[in-house]
Amino acid sequence: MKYFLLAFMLFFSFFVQARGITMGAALDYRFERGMDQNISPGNYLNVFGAYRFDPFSVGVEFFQKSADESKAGTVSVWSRKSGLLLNGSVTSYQTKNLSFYLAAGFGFSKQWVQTTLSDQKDLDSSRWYMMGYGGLGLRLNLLTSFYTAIEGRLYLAENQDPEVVWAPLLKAGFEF
Amino acid sequence: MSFLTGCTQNQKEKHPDTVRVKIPWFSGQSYQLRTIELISITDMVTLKGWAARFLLSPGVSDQQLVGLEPRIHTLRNSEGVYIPTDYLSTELLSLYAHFEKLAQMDIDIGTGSYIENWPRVRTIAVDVKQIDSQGQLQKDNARFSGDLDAFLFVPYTMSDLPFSVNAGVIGHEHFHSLFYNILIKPLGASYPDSAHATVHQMSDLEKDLIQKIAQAKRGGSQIQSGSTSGNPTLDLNERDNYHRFLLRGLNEGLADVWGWLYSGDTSFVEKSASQFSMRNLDLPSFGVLSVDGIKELSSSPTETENLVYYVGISYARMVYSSFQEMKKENTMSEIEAKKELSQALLRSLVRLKSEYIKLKTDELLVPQKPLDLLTDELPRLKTYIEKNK
Repeated sequence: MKYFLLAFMLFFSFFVQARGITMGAALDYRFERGMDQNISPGNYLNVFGAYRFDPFSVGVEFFQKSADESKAGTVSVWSRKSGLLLNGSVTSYQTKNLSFYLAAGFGFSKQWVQTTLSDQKDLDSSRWYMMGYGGLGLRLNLLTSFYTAIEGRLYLAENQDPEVVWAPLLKAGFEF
Repeated sequence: MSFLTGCTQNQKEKHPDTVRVKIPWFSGQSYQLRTIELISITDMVTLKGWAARFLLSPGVSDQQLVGLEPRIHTLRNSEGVYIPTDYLSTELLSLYAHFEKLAQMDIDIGTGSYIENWPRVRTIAVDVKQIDSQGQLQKDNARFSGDLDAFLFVPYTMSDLPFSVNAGVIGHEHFHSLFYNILIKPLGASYPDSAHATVHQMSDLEKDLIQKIAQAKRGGSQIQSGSTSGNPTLDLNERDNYHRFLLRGLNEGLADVWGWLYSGDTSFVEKSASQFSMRNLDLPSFGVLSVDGIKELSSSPTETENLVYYVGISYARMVYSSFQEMKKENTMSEIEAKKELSQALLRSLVRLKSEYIKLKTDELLVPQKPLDLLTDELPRLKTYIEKNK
């Protein structure tokens, strides 16, 4: 995880002097299949930054799913998924406060699982899984530099159930 | 050494479809997370293969289980080992692994000679929502249903080792399916209750029950001596009760023996349900009950369910302790000795079926008979069974 944060900081140390930098966070409700076999929204927290040069924007996004824990008796399983995405978007329609955009991204994810059996704890991690997404969003500029957005994405990824996952995102950010 | 570890060690030669999974596994003393090789899985998402298929929270329709085919979630670590990422996946992978090893054990000991189309894909239902006689959702249990030809695991809510990862419990349930197919099913509808065996249904191991057993044993001991070759008689209803009770007890007892033969664990029931330490096989043997003892217990209107297990315990401890003494005095490898015992047990079940068929309508099977048949099939055991009577 520290590598994710390092990459994130490096990216922004490069762009921090530039104009048109946006930074923010998003709640990413990916509809994945859970242990109960229902497809329900998983709570991912995403943080992102982007460099905007109208009508385009490029950026990087780090995401992490809050840990899941399931257990019975002396057996319990804890797991967490994180990843990094390189994003691009293009604004296709814009009014004074409202803009409509198309977005796409590509990156990698990794999963960690800790299995506990009585006193024994084993931590395992996956290899890096490839992933990508396409989406569209609506951005609302509320104040001079603060904005919110709603975005819909379709994720394609290795080791994802179902194979195509859709997700609504609620985003908020600042533009410097 | 048990079939469980024996099967694992025999897989040194790589099978083309081998997958490695990390699951809780019995390692001689306790359960540990271990990497186990499986050779029969054809789909790692729906967990399909020749050993088992799964249904999640199924219902019954037209005498068939109908339910959702679960999808499991795993990751592959840098060594290519599949790691389950939630509890359900751990449970299903563990069940699959054990049913694959049990199928290998069946091939090894030749179970296919006694049951048609064996080994076969086993249907395993997990997270079963079953209502008990009090109208409550059942929990903390596992059973084999002969009618459905399926294993049913209801949710585990206690704080010990879940039944679905307990090798001995799975071996125990597997034996119920052998007992059903070799003995109960061919006998027809005469003894239907015998198929409804569970891992445990005893409430508390109360002292008065133990006393009851002791009384029943004392009461029948005189009749028992010298009467093993003859078949005592009883009226029809009592006779049915008697045989149902005896068969259920025998089924439970031999299933405990099978659970130990497979897992190498003598206290597997206690590992999942600590209140049932009475089922440990390495406790002293107290002999089997007499005809009168079984008559008395089988006529108990309220406690039959609990008492069945005491009959089971008497068979289980007798076979286990006699086997241990035999092994001590004979130079033989443990795995070979266990193989001989399991083969003899199966052959004795086939003969027991014939004995039942031969019984006249007013005759009773003597409780010692199953052991006599076993020692006929494994003569080396006879001295020790006689000694432990």
